[in-house]
Amino acid sequence: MLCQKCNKRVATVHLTTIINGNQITVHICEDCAGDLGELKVFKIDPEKGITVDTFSFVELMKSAAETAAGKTEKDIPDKFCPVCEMNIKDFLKKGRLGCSKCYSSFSDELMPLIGRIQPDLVHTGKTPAAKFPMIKIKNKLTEMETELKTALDEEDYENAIILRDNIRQIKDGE
Amino acid sequence: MSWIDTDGPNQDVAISSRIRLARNIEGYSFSGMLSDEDAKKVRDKVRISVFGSSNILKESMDFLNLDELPILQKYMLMEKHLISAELAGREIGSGLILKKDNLLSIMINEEDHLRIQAIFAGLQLDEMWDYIDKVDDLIENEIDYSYDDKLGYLTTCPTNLGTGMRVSAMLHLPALMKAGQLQSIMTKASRLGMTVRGFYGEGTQALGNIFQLSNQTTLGKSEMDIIENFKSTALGFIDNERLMRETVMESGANEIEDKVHRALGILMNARQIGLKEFMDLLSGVRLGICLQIIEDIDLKSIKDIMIRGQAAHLTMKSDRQLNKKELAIERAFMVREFFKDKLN
Repeated sequence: MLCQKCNKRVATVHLTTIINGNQITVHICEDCAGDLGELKVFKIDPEKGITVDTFSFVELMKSAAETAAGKTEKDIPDKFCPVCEMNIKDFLKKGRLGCSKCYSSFSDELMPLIGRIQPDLVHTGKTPAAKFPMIKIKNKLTEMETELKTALDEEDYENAIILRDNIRQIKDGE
Repeated sequence: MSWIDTDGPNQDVAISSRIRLARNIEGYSFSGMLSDEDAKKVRDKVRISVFGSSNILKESMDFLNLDELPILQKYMLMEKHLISAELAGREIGSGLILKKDNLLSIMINEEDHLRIQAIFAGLQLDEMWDYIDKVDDLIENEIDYSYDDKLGYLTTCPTNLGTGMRVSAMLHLPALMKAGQLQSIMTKASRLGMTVRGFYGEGTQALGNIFQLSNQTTLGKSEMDIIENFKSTALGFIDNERLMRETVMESGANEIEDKVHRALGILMNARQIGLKEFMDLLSGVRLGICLQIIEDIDLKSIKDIMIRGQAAHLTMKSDRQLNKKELAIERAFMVREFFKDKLN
């Protein structure tokens, strides 16, 4: 079949991605694949050895999705992370963020994207050992504050006072 | 030592398995955005976290400044699956901390600041997780990892967010391939949240009927859940392959024996063998060993020769640049020597 981008050369690159349960397949030639992005991919060819190609999966996904939605790249405004100065457009092209703060700087754009590629938006796995005590305390405090609210709602003032004092103690100890 | 010269469970189908954790140091941009100076600072920090006085890891590790390593040696590390092509291509700030027995390696400034990986023979996920979990803790005592309460370990690419964990296994599936089952394997894997790739990762064809199975998602499940899910998928494929091998032997043992012995014949006698043919022939011999058609060779030796037959390894051995034809000749020579030695 012919490349869906240039309609001239034979499509030799077939990329299938699943976004939100919908399967999108893009068929393009190697030249067009090279034109699309700046991500360097090191390929190992059995005959040629190691070669460097330019390729971008994220760019292709974006193109395919935009073609479907009728939008163009110009519709996406510039947005910069104040810490590392990465432009969100670069992220959308390359699929890589600039620093840990990008997750909060680009939170609006990133959360839906993460929601599409990961099964959940909350980490339930390992916690760094050193940070663990703080997180444990934080969770305990949240729990107690909920209990305090319930106690007040139910007018159980005796309990509420005990909870309030305990919470204060922990917060002071911090 | 290493995954190459040790045996492992389920190795009739699972050649090796790997667990990798992606970690970043708080306070520095991700590897792709680092200045040369900061890249070296990050490398230093990681080096010190392992070799600093209080860490018990240092006794068993070596540090390599990859900026200074000759390209041929980098390619050899790639062929052993100890570093990636991306790390080999990084010019400033790249590093590798390698356990002396090669079962653990820490890539510095690949896509993330740290990529801690364990690679064992066969399928040994629980053992690897135990081990790599402890190594991660030891390093974390010395380094402040980028971590968020909700999103977990923060990584350069959102596809690694949360656990930062990639579990993978190299599976040898000649019977399923012959039976035309590749497409259904890939679809099944995809439905279970896994991906299937070729021998060197994101290529198209699998060399020598070897496929890499790995998990796709990293956030929202615990590390143990990811491992259990992966293990059951991998064992499913392993069982399917074993069943198909039995079926094939029952319906056409002679054909398989012929194929295996022809493969052996070519390997023992040919004067030039290209890489693709080499991997295909080895696949036949490997199958022959598992089906007890060939008896004097063990699976470890096949892993060993598979790596030694790769381009950089051959070049290193001959100590000069080799073109495609010379590689084919050198490979054939090495292989003839190998089998002469084993079968005499």
